[in-house]
Amino acid sequence: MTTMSSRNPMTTTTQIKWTLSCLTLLSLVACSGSNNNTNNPPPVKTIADRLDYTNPTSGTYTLVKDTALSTSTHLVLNLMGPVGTQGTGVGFYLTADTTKVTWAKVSGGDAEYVKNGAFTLGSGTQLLKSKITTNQLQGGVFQKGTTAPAVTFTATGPLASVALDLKSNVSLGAVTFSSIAGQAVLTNGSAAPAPIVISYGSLAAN
Amino acid sequence: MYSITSSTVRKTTNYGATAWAALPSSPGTGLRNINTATTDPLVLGVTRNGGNVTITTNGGTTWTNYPIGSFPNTAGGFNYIWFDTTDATTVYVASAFPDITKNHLWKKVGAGAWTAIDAGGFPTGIPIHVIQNDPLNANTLLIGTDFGVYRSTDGGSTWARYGQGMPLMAVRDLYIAPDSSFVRAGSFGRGVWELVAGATLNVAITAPAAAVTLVKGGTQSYTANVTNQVSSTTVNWTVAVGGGTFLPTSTTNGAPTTVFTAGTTANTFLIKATAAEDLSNNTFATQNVTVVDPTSVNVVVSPAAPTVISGATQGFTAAVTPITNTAVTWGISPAVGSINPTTGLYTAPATPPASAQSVTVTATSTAAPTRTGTATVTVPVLTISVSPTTANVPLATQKQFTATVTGSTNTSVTWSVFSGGGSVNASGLYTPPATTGSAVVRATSVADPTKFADAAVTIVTAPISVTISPASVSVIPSGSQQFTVNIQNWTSTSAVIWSVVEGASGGSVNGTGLYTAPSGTGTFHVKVTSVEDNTKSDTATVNVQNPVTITITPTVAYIAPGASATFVGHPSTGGTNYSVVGGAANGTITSGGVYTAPATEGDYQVKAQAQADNSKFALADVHVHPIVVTVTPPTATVQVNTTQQFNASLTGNPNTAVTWTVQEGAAGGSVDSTGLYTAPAAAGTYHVRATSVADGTKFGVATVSVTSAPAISVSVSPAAVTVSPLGNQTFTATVTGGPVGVTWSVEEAGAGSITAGGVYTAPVALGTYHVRATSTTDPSKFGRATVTVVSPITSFSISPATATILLDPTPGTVVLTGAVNTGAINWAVSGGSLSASTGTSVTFTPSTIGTFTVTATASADASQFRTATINVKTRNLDGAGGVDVLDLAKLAADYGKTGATATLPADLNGDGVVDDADITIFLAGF
Repeated sequence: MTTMSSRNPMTTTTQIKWTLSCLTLLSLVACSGSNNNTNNPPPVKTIADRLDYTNPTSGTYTLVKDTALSTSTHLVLNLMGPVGTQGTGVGFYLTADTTKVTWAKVSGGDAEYVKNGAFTLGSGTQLLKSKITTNQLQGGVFQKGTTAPAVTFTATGPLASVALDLKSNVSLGAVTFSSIAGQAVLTNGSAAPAPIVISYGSLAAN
Repeated sequence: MYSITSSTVRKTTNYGATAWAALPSSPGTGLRNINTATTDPLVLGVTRNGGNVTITTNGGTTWTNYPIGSFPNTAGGFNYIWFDTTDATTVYVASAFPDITKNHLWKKVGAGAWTAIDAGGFPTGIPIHVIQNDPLNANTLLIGTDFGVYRSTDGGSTWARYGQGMPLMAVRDLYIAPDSSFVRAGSFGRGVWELVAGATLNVAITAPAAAVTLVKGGTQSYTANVTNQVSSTTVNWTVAVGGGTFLPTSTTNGAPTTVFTAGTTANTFLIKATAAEDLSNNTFATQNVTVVDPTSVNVVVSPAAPTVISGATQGFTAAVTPITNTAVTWGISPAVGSINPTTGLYTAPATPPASAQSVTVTATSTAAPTRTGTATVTVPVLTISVSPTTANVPLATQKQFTATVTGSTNTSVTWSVFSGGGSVNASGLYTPPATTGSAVVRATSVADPTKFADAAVTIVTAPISVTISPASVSVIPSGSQQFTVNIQNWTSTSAVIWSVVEGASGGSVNGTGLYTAPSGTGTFHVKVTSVEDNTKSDTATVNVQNPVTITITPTVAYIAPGASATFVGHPSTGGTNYSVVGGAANGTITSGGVYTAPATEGDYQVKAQAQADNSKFALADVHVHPIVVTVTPPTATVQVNTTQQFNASLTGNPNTAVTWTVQEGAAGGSVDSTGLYTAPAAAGTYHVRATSVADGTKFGVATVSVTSAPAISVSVSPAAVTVSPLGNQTFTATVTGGPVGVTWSVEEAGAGSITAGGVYTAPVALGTYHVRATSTTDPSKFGRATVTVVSPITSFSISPATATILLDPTPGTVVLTGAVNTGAINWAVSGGSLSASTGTSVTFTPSTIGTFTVTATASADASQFRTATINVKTRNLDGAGGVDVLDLAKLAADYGKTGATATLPADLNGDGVVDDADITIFLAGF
């Protein structure tokens, strides 16, 4: 619920206002010419008010920012698979510095901290599960065996999505974030789960 | 099969079982004969009246007719058609039409024309009734004719009579065996004849040489022998033109000789003897004959120039070339001696000629009388000589003369004293008269008394002779030996001088001949010389040697009368002479020292005497006594398999050792080296023998009567018992009449086991079995007990039979309950733990995942048990870390799989399928 409050629209409004003031200030300086010693210096920003994520530049399975669903403090990351590869589910472990960010559900009505992207989960009890342990998030979304055809991965369709929210009063700087090596698998029908490597980008609180 | 009527050909394919079917079309009218091709069932042909031959190649759908004009030189009458058994396109047709001007056999190959083939040795114009080919050789044809069977081996080009021993008669049908081993010919009124294959007409010429050479006009006899003929052995003799003539020109085996007379042309010609029976003249034998001019004949006599003494013979041989007849006639000139005109053996005259003779021996060729050869014989004169031609003959002696005669086979001579005194015998031994003087001894030839030879003899006085005795002797150092001398023919004095040849080192001899040896050893010589004529002397050899010693081994021997023992003398030098003291009555001994005792018992001595000094000898004692071995007790009676001690005493030899045996071998028991006898298992009478080691032929015997042991009886207690499966029962055995030892066994296979102490363990299987105790002494004796294995359990169950539980997050448990009609329930598990080991209810707690079996066993019957299977699962499906989404991935992959739950880790509820219920269980603890 704390995460939900960090996405208060008011915060977004404040940020916009601050930006306009700065532009106004810059205009005034330009107009006044050398008469600048009569102005106060701009305020120094020390507390982060947004999360910046830089997508990885390479990798087979990648975590990329969902720009549509992300806000300045709510970062939605999509797990993308190699185009043309088929699969029926993925499972993975992610870790983040939870002193600065907190694992969040992609959307407010989600039941789990992982959201299905491409897979057909079928009826009855679905194989969609997440679990947060301190700074780790484990998530899995799987089709049931061979009950549905395997999904062919595309460049635009995420396999699954997760989200992070910026905590309050977080100092500026990099935020530790990674995919835990050796703790990610791909399922494909009834075949034994195969290990995969998820490439991730850099996260910073600004 | 096919049959013909006058105009229809019918066929049956089932030996006439159903109606014969007419072929699709008729070949025409007047059918006479039909035959089919072996290699093509669609080809058959018929002969028809009017000289027609009609053939179909499509089973009678259409026919091709060959009218009489198709056949050269025929009057028709075709009565037989035959297809080559290897080629359906080769056809033969025979005609029996009675016209000697016509052909009677034709052949057609493929699309070719009909060709007459009854020539080449076949009598022209003879009717032919049948033709067939050999199944194994299509080029061999046989035909039946009015004049017997003829055969061609070249497809009909040439023919010859066939069928050894078959008379000349009409043959109407033939059968050739499939393997060609025989032919049967059906005759016209003379039955069926079987002709054996393989006998081929043959002619052989007999002559003195493989190629005869004759002079012009010369003659040579020849014979010919015909074999494998059908009926005639006649041959006709011919020779190449100009070669000569035969008389007679034909011969038979019974009158075999013909004389060939050469012509006047020198050349090589071929003579031929041709079998008359083969009208093709292809059966003959030939030989070359060479005719030469008589002037080319040479006669060479051997040996060319021998010398033949009077009365002797000489054989001559003559080599006559180049003609075959090498006979000659022998003669001589002048008529000195004689010669056998036939053999050439020359005999010289019995009386030697007064002068040497030269005789010419001549050999004259019988075949070419103008041609001769010669040899020259020399007959020498007789000569005689005497040896020696001169001789001095002492008075009172004799002289042997010999005579040599040459030039005659009679070399005898007559001896005589031509002048002077004395006499000579028939062998030439001359004896002089009593006084000195001269004489002439003459040898005269008996063959020619005019020829003699003389020897001049001078009779002289006799010389002095000196002889020493002994001529050889051995003497010890410094010993002495007396020598004597015998001197003869002395005239003035008989005195002699004694000396030692080697001088003083060889000893000394005095004037009486007493010799004294030196102190050293060696060989020396004593000489005695006539004083009257010191050229006359004699010498004795003295061997001076040390004294001889000798020993003998063995020094004592024990042998039986008549037995032998070997003794060995050991002299210090030289050999040994053996003897028996007291002579042959005390035994005999060979030169090799083998002593044979006399038949009389006693003590004797053998002597070994040194040959180098027979005064030296050694003695050995020989005790000749019989060896007697006595066994005690001499008889004994023992039971089978028991023992008896025997003892042996031996006299006649100091070696009293004996060897113990059982005469009957192992079947009679055994006896050890101390005489302890062990009886066999079988009763009977046996013999124990003690044999002298010193003399293996001497032994003593004890007789042992081995009796049977009392009968053994075995009983088992309890005799009958009831036991639970795997239950135990102790049995005891009682043995009477023998040792108490028994061997326990269970009679039936799979009926449990029993220890050597009689403790029986029942099998699981229910039933009635038998325990046996067998006597170790007599395995044929045993006792038995009956064991009935029954179970007390009638009702026994446990619940649940299967269960599936999780090990995590905390181990699950399973409560198992059991019920049995009697006794308690004992619990055990293959893994995990149970809350109790006995009771009606226990709780199973796992310690690890897996499939475990809980076994409940009835205490009243250990063979009765029930089991429950517990599957222990975990949600940690990948076996790594704890339960997480990666395990969920495993479950997702296995979702929908079915099978035994033990093979489905994700089947968490154990229902044999991975489904939503398992997902629910998994997520419940996530």
